[in-house]
Amino acid sequence: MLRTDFAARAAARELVESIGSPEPVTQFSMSRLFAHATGAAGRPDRDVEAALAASPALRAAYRRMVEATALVAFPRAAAASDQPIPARETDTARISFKRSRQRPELVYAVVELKDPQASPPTEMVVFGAEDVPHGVALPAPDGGIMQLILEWGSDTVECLRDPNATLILR
Amino acid sequence: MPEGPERHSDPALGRIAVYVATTAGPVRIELVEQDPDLEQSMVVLTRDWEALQEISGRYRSFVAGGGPVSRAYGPAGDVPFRLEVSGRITSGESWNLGVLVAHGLARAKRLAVPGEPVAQILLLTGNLDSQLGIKPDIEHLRDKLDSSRELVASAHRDATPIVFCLPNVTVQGAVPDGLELLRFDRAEPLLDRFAIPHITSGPPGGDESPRPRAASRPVLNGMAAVAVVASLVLAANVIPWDPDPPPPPAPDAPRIVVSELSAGDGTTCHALQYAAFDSTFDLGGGATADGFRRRLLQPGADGALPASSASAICGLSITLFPGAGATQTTGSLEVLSGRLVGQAAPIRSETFTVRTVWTYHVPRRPPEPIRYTVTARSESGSETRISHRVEP
Repeated sequence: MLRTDFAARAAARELVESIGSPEPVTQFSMSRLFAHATGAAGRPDRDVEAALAASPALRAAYRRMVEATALVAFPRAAAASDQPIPARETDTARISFKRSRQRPELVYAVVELKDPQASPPTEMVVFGAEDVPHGVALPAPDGGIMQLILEWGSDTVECLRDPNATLILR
Repeated sequence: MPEGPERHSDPALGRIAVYVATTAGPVRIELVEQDPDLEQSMVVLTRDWEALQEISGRYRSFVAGGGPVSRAYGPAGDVPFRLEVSGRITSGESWNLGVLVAHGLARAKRLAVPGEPVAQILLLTGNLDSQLGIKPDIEHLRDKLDSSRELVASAHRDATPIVFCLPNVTVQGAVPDGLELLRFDRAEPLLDRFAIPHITSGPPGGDESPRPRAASRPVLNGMAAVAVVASLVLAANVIPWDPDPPPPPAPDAPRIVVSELSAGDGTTCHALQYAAFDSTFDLGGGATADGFRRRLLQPGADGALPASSASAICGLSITLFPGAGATQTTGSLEVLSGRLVGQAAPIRSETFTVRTVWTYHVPRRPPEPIRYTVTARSESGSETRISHRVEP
């Protein structure tokens, strides 16, 4: 916990240094950005999201902040995967994707939680090109499994197809 | 007993739109579909695909073996359902009746989906008990009626008959003009009234054993009867009906699913087994991208799995699902005769918390039948057991 908190604060510090201009930061406090990254604050926070949309540096720092504090941060997917969207796995969770053969416009995402005692995540976030975040709410787990439907061709799915994209659950 | 005029008994001539009455207005059931690529059954909003988690969990129990859907229409196998609805259903159980009817109409290919001509509109509210009785306690009936006025007016503009099916209760206040009320204390008469094929025969304890039937009403015109028989045949092609289903499992019982693995076109068992050795051989974790063709084994009327032929398959995939709400489930496999490839001891036992897959390869020409049992027991003591044999 201390380590993730340190990483998040380091990202925040780096953010302030990298932005150069203080303008986006003065619109809201750093604790507010941190709260947004950890989910401690209510979403949507339009100020934070507008600032994220405007600043690539803020997005990069935000991604690192989110990664550092996520419940699950998936590693990069195996490049050899033959699935349109590669599965990913950590010690505590596995996420896999299956495009429906009956309804090819739909993709089923399945999160399997390996630790039944752990707090379940409530949101999946994938970072696309230039660290643009795409968040999807997760349903409550049933039998350790959370299932959601994504649309083939959506921004989220396009990001998920990139095995190098950052994918977290929080 | 059902009430209402005779004319409602002939809807087989067209498709029926089903709405669940809610206090926020009628919610249309737009599609009921089985999809083998789904992991679990779910209820979703049609257009934005948001899972309705408030009712998805209860819907899974509703369509599972022993739930109202399998009780009314027979086991649907292990292929999950996707139920698409036009709006949120956030609380209560009064969606039960509408969802049951929608499943029956979908099986008979008579559920009207958006854009199709609608011969009749059914608006329903009712909680079901485990024996398909409709509970008489229904909440917010007045609000549900009031919020249906727009749908009723729209149906009248389109000259589409609209019926409100509800439990056997008294309605306080005025009923929207043109809305006919039909009261039922059980689901079967309702299904019969709309010629929806079902396999039930009323409450337990009667003399008649359960068997497939279309409608118990003595008066059914010829055209409807032909349509019902055709529906039965069509439905039987989609999902095998079990005229004598096994007793329902306990709600928290673990599940065991067995699939045959075989080689697809252009490949062989040997090639797939060699390629997949590292990733799927005797491993849990739900490995699926192994190139094998899978065929789910459906239990028969007695609950037993059909025998497999060793010469026709490469192996077996045994998936163990923990019981609902169980934090730990113990699975064990005992080989009674013969031998599965890669199985070190006659008995394998493992504790799991999430879905677990055991994959075994089968000798091409075993010297004797391979007989085995798999047992899964949740920590509450709820147990599921299957037996299976592979013939040489």
